[in-house]
Amino acid sequence: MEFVKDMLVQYLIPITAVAFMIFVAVVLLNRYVYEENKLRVEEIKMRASEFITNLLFVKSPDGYEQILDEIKRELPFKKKFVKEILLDTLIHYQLNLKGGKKEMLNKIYEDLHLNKLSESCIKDSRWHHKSLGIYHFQVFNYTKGIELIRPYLYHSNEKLRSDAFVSFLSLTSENIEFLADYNKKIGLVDELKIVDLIQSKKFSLPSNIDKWILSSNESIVRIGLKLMGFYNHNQNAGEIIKLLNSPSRTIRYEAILAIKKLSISNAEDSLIDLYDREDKLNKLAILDALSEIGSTASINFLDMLLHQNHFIDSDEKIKVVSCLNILDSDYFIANFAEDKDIDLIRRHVANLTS
Amino acid sequence: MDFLEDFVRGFEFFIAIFSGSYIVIYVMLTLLSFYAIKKHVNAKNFIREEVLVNSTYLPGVSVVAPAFNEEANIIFNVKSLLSLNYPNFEVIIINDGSTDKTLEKLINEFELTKIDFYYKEHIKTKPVRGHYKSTNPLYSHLLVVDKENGGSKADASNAGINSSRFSLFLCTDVDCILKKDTIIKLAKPFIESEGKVIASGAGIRIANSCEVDEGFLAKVHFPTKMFPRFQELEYIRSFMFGRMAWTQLNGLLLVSGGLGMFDKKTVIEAGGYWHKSLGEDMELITRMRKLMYNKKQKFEIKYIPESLCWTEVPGNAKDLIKQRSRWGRGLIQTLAMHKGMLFNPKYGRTGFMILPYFLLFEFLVPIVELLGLIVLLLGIFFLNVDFVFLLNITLFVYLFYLTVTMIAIFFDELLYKNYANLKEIGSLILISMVEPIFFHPINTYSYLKGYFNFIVNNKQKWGTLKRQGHTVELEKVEA
Repeated sequence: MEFVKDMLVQYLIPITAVAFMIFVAVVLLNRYVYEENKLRVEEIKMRASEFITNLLFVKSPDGYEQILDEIKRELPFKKKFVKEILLDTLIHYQLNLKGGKKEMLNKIYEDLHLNKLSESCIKDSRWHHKSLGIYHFQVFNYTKGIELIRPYLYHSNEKLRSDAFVSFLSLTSENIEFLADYNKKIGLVDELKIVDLIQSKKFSLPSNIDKWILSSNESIVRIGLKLMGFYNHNQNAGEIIKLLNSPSRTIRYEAILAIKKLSISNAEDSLIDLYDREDKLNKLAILDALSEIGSTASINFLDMLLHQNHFIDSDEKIKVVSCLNILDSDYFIANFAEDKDIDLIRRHVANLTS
Repeated sequence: MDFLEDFVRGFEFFIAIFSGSYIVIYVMLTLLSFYAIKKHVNAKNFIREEVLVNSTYLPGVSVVAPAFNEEANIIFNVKSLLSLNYPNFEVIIINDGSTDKTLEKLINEFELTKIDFYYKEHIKTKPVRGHYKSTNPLYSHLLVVDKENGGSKADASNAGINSSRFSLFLCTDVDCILKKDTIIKLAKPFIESEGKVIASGAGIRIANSCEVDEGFLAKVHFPTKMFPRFQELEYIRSFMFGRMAWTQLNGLLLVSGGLGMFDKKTVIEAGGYWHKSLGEDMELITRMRKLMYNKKQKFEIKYIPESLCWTEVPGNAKDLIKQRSRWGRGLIQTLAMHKGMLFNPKYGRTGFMILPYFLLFEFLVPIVELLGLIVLLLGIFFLNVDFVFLLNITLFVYLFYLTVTMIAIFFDELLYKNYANLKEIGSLILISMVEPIFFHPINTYSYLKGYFNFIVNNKQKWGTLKRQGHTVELEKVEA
């Protein structure tokens, strides 16, 4: 008992008291410094925005140089936080402006030597700083920095590797054909990033796209299918239909989407054959595809489904009715006029799509 | 007298072990929370939300918001929900048999018309009277479900889930003010994660003194009244600190009813919200966990350390006691209902870590505090109490509590700077110093009251929840 009492008085109470006071001091000090600088930072943000707008719309090269000088003279340009404000402002404009102004923003980025700040981020030991620097290069299309990114393409940190990979794709002048042989795992998020990148950068369709959809890397197959859909490339319809037999559910899903997008009408029978073996998500995708490419065979198939009435849930039944309604809106009058349930679904679909 | 002395000594020994474990666990939770927040902040640029919201591959989300007698603010609130930023979502307002003009106002403002709706009751609810859609394309994302009053938010939410068309749904209260990017932030864990995410949640803050302009949050302020201030502190501690630590352990047992996103299929399989539960949000998560273990499927429940939702809280002691006694009752009800999961190897960490924690350090604490008070009084009157030691141990517990609170405030300030100025931060710190003395006993009393009501099986039901602007008045009927 005496030991506990001694511990309390000599260690535990003093330690917790000091810890509490330290946290109070840190919280208050942190807020005090923030408030002290807030007005100044806001003013710098405003001025930075003004300068960059002026740079974007200045007509003469002399005027441009003059504004650059003004920025360096009137803002505490050597301070890191000022450079960060300028960078954030440029990124904001870069993401929200279109056309020739984007090129102009890339030029401003280099002329203000903000690429140096991005480089220092990449050289930082913390992965998220590296990622940020890599992102800057990507946003400002800083192709000169590509060699700084390359070492991170095979980094052990998956997130850093992913950011480096997407930026590398964005900046490289090499064709993206090499992706057909890429064997590293690409996460779903990376797939979204890559597709976003390809769509925003308007890459031309890789000449070996047929190889992509035969790759042993599932992600590459999915990206390939998305690209085929995006570029309306229907020369590989046969291969796409074959992918409906892939053991991967997500590849089959992507193939179904591509069939719909590319209106591959000779996939109709394969889709109908596949239907029973699929899960809900793929079934709904098949019905969507059939509503696009379906013929009498699809109508007969949907009719059979409605008569069998073995659905996973109401979503599937709604989709079947919706699909049949698209393919032949008079079909219900002739075949299901007395079926109140189906009539209600038909009106339900009409209400939700109107 | 010997018996009493033995009893008091025995209790002291128990308290020493109990408090020691409590402190060790809290220190561990602090470290985990710090790690989880750091990981979240570091990864925030990994996939930028602007990339996601422009993607055509995002899952659709149904926003489910029950409304009961909300005529005062319903129009602004619905407009606020409709303005959320996400490429593919619908807003489902469930009029839970309001006795005021809630439905009438909705119909007039949003040009609603009753539609034929193929409604399937995946989860049993009180009868649905109809579905309404707007004839104005501006409000094409809006669906209003009109149903008979089911006496609980759970029943209304279930009707909303039944009417939803997307695979994910976000459950909120109609009067909650959400940040514009709430959907994308809550959907992000579902998109990012390699495993199956069944639910995600984020921080909720107090709107009592915030400036709200037509359903939109204009400016965040520290509450001016005492009780909301105490709760503000409690929310910071709970959301920034406790839940982040639990998310790191994939051990979240509570995704708040005010703001949570769920995988619809799992919720329906689990049976939806239980309408008789008084802590339906915690009960649902427990049941979803149980389902996933039974299916032998790995799952995750994610929490984001960002405040995305502002809500009103009880402004006085009377309403607070009612609310907390309901929470207390909900807690004991959930633990009793799922007692079979406790220390059951089938339920992994839920059975061996999460539920035991809730049993020992959430449920048992008010009881231990009450016993402590009784033992203390007995000791003072009948035994020789070492007052110096009593004072020292009380001081230590008080300082430990304050330190934990300050760490939570520190995380919050460092990351989000939610408050207007230094004065508000100062007030928050001062409030944290009096909270254990004034607020905590009321909270403990309320929980004990809830336990008592559960044990004697007092019926408790929801009454009307009247809101006027941003003041809340709970009128719950307890019989």
